[in-house]
Amino acid sequence: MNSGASRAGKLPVKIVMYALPFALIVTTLFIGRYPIPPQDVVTAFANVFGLGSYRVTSEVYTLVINVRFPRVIAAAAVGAALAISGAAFQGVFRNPLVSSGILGVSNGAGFGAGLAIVFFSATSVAIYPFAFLFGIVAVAASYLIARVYKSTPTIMLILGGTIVSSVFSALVSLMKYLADPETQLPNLVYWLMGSLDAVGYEEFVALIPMIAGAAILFLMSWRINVLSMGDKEARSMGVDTQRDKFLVIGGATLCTASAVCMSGVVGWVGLIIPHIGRMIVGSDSRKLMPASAAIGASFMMVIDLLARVITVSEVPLGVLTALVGAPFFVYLLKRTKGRNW
Amino acid sequence: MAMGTGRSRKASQQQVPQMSQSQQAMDVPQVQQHHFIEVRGAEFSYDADAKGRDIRDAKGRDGRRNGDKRDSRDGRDAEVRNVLNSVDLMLDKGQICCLMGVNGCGKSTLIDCILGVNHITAGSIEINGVPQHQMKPHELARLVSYVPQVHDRAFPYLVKDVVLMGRTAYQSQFSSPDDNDKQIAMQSLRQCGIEHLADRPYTQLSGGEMQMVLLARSLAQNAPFIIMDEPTAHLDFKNELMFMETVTSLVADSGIGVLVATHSPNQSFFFESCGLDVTAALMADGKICKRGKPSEVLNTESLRNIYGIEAKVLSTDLEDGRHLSQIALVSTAKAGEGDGSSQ
Repeated sequence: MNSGASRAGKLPVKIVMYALPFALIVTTLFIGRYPIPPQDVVTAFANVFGLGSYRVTSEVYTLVINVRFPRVIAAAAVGAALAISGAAFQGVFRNPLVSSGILGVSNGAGFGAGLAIVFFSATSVAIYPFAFLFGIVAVAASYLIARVYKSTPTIMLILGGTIVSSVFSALVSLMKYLADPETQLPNLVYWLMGSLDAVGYEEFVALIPMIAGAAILFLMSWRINVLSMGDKEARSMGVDTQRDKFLVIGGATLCTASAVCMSGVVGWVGLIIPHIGRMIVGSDSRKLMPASAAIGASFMMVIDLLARVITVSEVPLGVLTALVGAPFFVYLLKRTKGRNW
Repeated sequence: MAMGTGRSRKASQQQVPQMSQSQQAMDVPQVQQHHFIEVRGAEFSYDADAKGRDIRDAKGRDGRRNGDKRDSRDGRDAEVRNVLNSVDLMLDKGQICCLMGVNGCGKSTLIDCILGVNHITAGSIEINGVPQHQMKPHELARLVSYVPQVHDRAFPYLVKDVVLMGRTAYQSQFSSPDDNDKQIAMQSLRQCGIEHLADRPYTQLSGGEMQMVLLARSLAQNAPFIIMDEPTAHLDFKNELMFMETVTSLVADSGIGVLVATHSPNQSFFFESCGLDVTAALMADGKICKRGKPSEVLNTESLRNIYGIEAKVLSTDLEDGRHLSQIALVSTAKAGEGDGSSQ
């Protein structure tokens, strides 16, 4: 196994990996069900700064600047946030099968959204505080359950997450049951399946906690490596495992909760993207975090593009991530024979 | 020269600390030349809560752990199992201490207590003169490193990255190791003779190579004392010997102190034959029941008492001048002759 050669061979892959998100942000602006000539897209951006040889129609301007652009940025942010929190959770829980929703944040946020939709008939950004709050509540509950031991052993955290997830999933069902089937229920179901349909600049408020969480995770990336050696060994190497786990869980929860606010519940990203990242850059979290962010952003932009162009009405994101993600993951496992990444 | 009377003690120390020490040893232990690790009267129980400190003399009557029905304050019967019963253990740099005893006698628990994974319910553990419970994890990690028995490999980290993790105790919360740390890690790999593995994913290593990586990681930690929990339990003869030879050179040449839990009393004979300052500490019922030079403590009688077996200690002179003893197992003890409990 000549690692030097394989490392050099991966360089082009790495360049593509980091360039792709930027390329996708640009290209997806030109694609959509409503046909806009490419020069109009460019000119619309020039118009924002008072430039350009002519003014595009207000319809085109709105579509490019206020619909497509915020949406693609949101897709990139959501994908990156889910992927890095998944990578962080996999590291801390020493388990490649956990994802960003492991501690119940998705179901908690889903319940919060249900609450907002059913009792306050809230839409779009008004749902955010509820979804975000209950996402955090769910993780906090998982964490407290794990603390029965005075420390927070990994297995107890996972069990706590499972318990809390199922409780909130029952509560989500209750919300569906209570929802008005004419008006509220479609809203709620659609939210639960994931969509970036309604995202505009107003919704960018969710980027604040997301960036804060991401900053924590990037700063903690070396500690995540050490935590993945197991509690006892990490402690013997000088890590305050209790505090560092709390920080990582906190950062990942901020990321995931704000991502779920923007997009609704989107599975798979937090599970498979970190694996793809490991195949390219290895397991070191210092490299895996940026790689996961880049791949997650690209993946989500492509998925969202598919969501809005393949049929007349939008396809839910959660459906697409599973339908696209699962076979792709199987293909990758087959190619790498399930080892050595 | 003032030989410390109670009053002039402080002053006299500053002038002649060496001379006054023997006199003060009994009543002022903190100014005495302390051992690097001092475990005094350590007790531990997995069932202990805040009341754990009340639990004393749950003396062993039968079995390896002591089950003991005891009235707690609110009148309910509480089953109390003290895994450690008043353990005293003094460990120094440049020495190796082999901790032995049957499964479940408390070896690993004692190690976990010294490492701060478990917290003792009574007694004290001092490291380099500082109570261990007052130390932050990174302070402890700079003094004592750890080699586990098995390491559960979750992700395919490169060997050099695993060894680099040993440098964590020297990083601030949000930073990661720098080039200097990388050099120290490479040096540790060389010291263990495994620098050729540096760029391999550690999930591909054999058990013997893996233990060497863990040893290198603990060396990168740069601690003067290493605690090992049955590090050779899964190794074949050659890998076991390689590991022991590396440990021998660490103790002899680098002056590192080692506490090694082992199921193989022969290892302590090996270290003794290499001329190391070896202590064998035999543990039973959560106590150190015997300690001293392996050639003095390990004999037919103590093996019968500790392990409940019949064994002979055979000795031979090697060509290189070493005198090596080894234990030959004969049979399990006949009923009544020894039941594995302490006397």
